[in-house]
Amino acid sequence: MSAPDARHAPAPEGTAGPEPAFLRPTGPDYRDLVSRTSLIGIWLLVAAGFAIFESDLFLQEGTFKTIFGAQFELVFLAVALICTFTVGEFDLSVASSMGLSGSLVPLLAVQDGLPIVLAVALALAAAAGVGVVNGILVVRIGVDPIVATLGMGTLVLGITLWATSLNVVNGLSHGFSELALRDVLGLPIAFFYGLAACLLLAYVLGFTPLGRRMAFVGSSREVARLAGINVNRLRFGAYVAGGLIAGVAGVLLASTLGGYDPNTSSSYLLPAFAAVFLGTAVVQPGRFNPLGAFIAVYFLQTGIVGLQLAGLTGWVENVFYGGALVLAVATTTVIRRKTGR
Amino acid sequence: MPDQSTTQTPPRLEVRSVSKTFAGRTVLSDAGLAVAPGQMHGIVGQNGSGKSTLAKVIAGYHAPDPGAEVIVDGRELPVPVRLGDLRAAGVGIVHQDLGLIETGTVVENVRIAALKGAGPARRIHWDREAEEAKVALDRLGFRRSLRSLVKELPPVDRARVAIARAIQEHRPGQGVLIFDESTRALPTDALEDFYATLRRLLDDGTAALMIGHRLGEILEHCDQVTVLRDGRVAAAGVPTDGISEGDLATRMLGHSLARLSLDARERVRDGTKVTVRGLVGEALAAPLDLDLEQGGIVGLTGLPGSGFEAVPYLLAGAAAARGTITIDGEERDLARTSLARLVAAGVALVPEDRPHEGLALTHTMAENIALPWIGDRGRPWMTGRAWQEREARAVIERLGVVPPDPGELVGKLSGGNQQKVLLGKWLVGETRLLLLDEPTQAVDVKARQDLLRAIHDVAAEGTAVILASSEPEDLVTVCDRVLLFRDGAAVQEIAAPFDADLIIAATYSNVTKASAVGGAADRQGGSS
Repeated sequence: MSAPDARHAPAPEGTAGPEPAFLRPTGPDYRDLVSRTSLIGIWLLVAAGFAIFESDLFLQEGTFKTIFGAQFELVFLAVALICTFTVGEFDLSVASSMGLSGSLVPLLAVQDGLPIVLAVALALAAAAGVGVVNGILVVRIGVDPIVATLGMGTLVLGITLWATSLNVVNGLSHGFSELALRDVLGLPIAFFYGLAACLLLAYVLGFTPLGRRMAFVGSSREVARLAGINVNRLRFGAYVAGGLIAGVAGVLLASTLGGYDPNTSSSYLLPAFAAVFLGTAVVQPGRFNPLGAFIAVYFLQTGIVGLQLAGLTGWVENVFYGGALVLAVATTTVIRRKTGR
Repeated sequence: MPDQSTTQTPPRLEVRSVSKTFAGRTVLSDAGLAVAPGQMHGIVGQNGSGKSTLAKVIAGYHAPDPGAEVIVDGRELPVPVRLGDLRAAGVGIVHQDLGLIETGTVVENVRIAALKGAGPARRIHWDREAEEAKVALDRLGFRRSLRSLVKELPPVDRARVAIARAIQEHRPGQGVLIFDESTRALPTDALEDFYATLRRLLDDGTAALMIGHRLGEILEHCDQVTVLRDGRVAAAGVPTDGISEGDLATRMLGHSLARLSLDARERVRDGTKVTVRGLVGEALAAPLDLDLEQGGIVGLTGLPGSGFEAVPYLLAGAAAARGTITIDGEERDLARTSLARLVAAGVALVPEDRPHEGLALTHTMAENIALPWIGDRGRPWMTGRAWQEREARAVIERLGVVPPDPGELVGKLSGGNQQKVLLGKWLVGETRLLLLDEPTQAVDVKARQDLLRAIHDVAAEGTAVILASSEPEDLVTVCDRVLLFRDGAAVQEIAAPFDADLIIAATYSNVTKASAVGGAADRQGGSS
């Protein structure tokens, strides 16, 4: 962007009168607290509703485990998406990267007989490699991120299906499943991996110079550039990190299932998106935040499990995830317009 | 209010009591004007004076505050103005960059908003469309094929296409044409032809409203001129006969700045210097050499597009440049030095485009101020809150930012306070060279004084400062010397002591002659 180009858009600014004073109310801001936690409240209401109307089915330890013992892969995908969203980018290939790594682990370990550690490392490297290609396409060449990552996602999915000959690959050892399924406080350890990933990303975004830079790159790329930040390196890095984290999700999923069905990959993308956008309504309203996404994943899962227990199966997930995504995005748009953020 | 004594018939276009408030900030206050039939009426004013806002209210792009009236041929239009009503009343608008589709044909460009489908399939009959377009184009003296592509046309014919689109629905002798800085897209040698064409339309009774920034052009061609300053009408409908560019510029700029007296700075002549050699880049055609001493403030000024406003971006590495910059004895090739390295070497840029390049409006004051320093002052695993809070408070105190709350979102501050935060952001660390582009744009008098004082103080502490500004009062208040730019080159150096009138006179004198000789700068820079 050349300097003179920037000059044609003077901001409408006031010229006369005293500066307006935006005094904040003193004391705790209850409205803020309500908006930060409203999703949690709705979650509790939903859970209470199921508990009342389906008390015999819903109030079971098994139900609790069904809700919190699954979906950690969505948490990881949400973390991967937030990496790219934060720097103002978009990655539609995360679910395919997860599928690639999830398929490579059994392919390499079972079919090719590689040591499991090596298979995992190669699977992660492949998923990160997808991120590298995304970065080259979007950051270096300048392709629109939606088109580039949609194309890459489809390409990677296709390659995965070819490599696995469209079959479910399994046969991973029982020992490997301990990686994800070891019991900790009654839940599989992968739940805590997901929580840890969210806390880590929340820490990076909230407390480190890296996170601050990412946030500025996402909200005002030129401002970041003129402050001396290497904007393109951060954008590229976000794609690679997103691919790698999706790869971790794939490895854990392979560990849980003892193998991987590559045909299921694409069904993970929309739920992850729904959780990320729904998560912007909580913890830090109006911003993509990993803890909000974490809460949203299990909020959605609660609703789905409850409805499934009521006998609604098959179509419920699509309605619930799709509806939640649209509702979350619409709500966020309205809130942003009202608060001018 | 507009002076209407000259005509018996109602004015073609009259606007009254137009005010516009954006988020609590009044950018246009009780503005009005009247354009008589057959008249060419100019509107001039600086950036932020409200002239574009006024044009956009008339064009229906902005909804004005309640109370505004827009009257065409004696008939009041409902406000906010709707495009359909404007077209029905015969008001045509030609936008800044003419708004042409480069890859379309002449017919397509003229008829784009008026295409009619016919028959059950609503098919476009291009022959019929071409006939319609030809009527309008003929009135303008367009002689080329209607099937030619717009990108292949010479500039004056491009302007004719844009005007044809605006006038195609009026009957000759009626209506109003509004040109929102449209001549900016024309090279100087095409201007005469353009105005001759326009004058032919006006002779029949059509009126024209020209929003412009080249004062010489406005004075030469318009019958009357309205001057806006700080959102108000500073001079309404003044006949252009017998006014000089200097008069007009003085009315436009005003002496709104109560003179700020600053202590003399002690310049460190023997200290390390910043030297620039052979600086060339877009909009800056002639190589520029600069010698800056610590504590000195060099002003750059000129007309929009003359190249002065490009220099800060070229020196900061924000735009592709050639040449060398030497800071503290270390020479750097600008073509091969990244912006990040220059920032690390102590070069700071305060850009003009505050909401896009200057500040992140959705982040807090403290976050914005800390941004350039977060790598040096924070640790990789922890940004550290104490220093951010401390530095933000220091900026707030130094520049008098209101409200004094580091946690306030920048987007909620007024323009003047945002500008203070933008400058303050670069006062946190050790800045060797401070590059400023219009740092007092559209701020009130008090904020302007605070900003100028801060700039003066930074220089007094030993930073070399370059101030690119079209505000003569700012330049004379803080600068030691001022370089005047014309057609992409520094043509004159004016040293203190000076006053604003001297700079105005130098900036606007011989402008038409100079731009007639070298229209090159308009084609290269072309924007303000």
